[in-house]
Amino acid sequence: MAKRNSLYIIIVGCGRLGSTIASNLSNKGHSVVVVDKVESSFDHLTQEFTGFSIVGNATEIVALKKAKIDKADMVLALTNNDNINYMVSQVAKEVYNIETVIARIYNPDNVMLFKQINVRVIIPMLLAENYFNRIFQEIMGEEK
Amino acid sequence: MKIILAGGRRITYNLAKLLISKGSNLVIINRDKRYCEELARQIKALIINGDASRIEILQRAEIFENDIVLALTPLDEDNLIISQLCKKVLGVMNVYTLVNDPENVEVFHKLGIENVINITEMLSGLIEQRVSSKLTNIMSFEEGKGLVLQLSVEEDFPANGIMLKDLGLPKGAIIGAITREEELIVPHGETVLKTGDRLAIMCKPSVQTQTVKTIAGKD
Repeated sequence: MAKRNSLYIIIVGCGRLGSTIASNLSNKGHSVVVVDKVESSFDHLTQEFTGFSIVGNATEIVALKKAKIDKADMVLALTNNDNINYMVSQVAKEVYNIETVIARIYNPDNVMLFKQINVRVIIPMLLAENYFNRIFQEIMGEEK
Repeated sequence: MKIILAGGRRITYNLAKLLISKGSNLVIINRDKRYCEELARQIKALIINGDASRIEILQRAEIFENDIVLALTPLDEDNLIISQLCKKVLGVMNVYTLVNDPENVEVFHKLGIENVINITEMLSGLIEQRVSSKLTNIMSFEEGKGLVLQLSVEEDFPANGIMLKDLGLPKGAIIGAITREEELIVPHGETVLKTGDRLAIMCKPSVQTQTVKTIAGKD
């Protein structure tokens, strides 16, 4: 898969993160479809975005079918609801056998469920903490 | 052994009352604090205020492998994660999951959720039963894959006076038993239907309408 330079990518959740990533990937030449239940959230997409947008609730299988999930190389679950992201991830992994599934999770409590099904996770809280530690170390280092 | 009811409102309250009257040991988890307070006043059960889709809340309920968990929230994604946490992390064997969107039933099966309660289909079954007046009873089994219909033969039914083998029931339907004047008959091909016979029919939902039509005529 790594050798193909254009992937078919489905992004569920078109908030700030989803729309930014969608616009970026689209700009890089990938085929991107974004799914969100609120139509106005597609306003976040920049002009670089040349993919498709689908209004629908991703926990209803119809919406994912409309996005042609069976053809996807990669699925990103980026809504602001961890449980929806889990359901989308598990459906992508175990019903449609999508190789790469990435989810954003706010609450690291349930992270083991995602890992059990080989979904890669982005945890903003932990990223922020790591970054803080780095800054803190830098400051402490300077003071030595 | 205890029963854990996760989420849900009216259904949880009524189920809890029923289960307690049968002597069950209950734990109720609900994220609405006021609702929890209301439940605590009316129901003798351990009530936990919190989001059941978080493992730390489930752990507070001290769930064991032989306990029974029912995921009853109105959101399928929440019920999925509650069920998976109970099955995969806590090792609970008996998990029952409410599915609100009937299209998700198949998806949940594929995701390893065996015991699915398909509330929409149950309700639509009840309504169909009311609508087609000739059916006296209807029951589904194997999560709606099979139905048992009960039907009394009336004088003007096309099936009245017909031998079973000539009846022409659709494939996927069979008359399992006939009650005739208090006596239960297990019928065979030569059995002739009579007015007043109460039939117990097993069939697939796909042929339900056709089955009733064959026996009762237009409806």
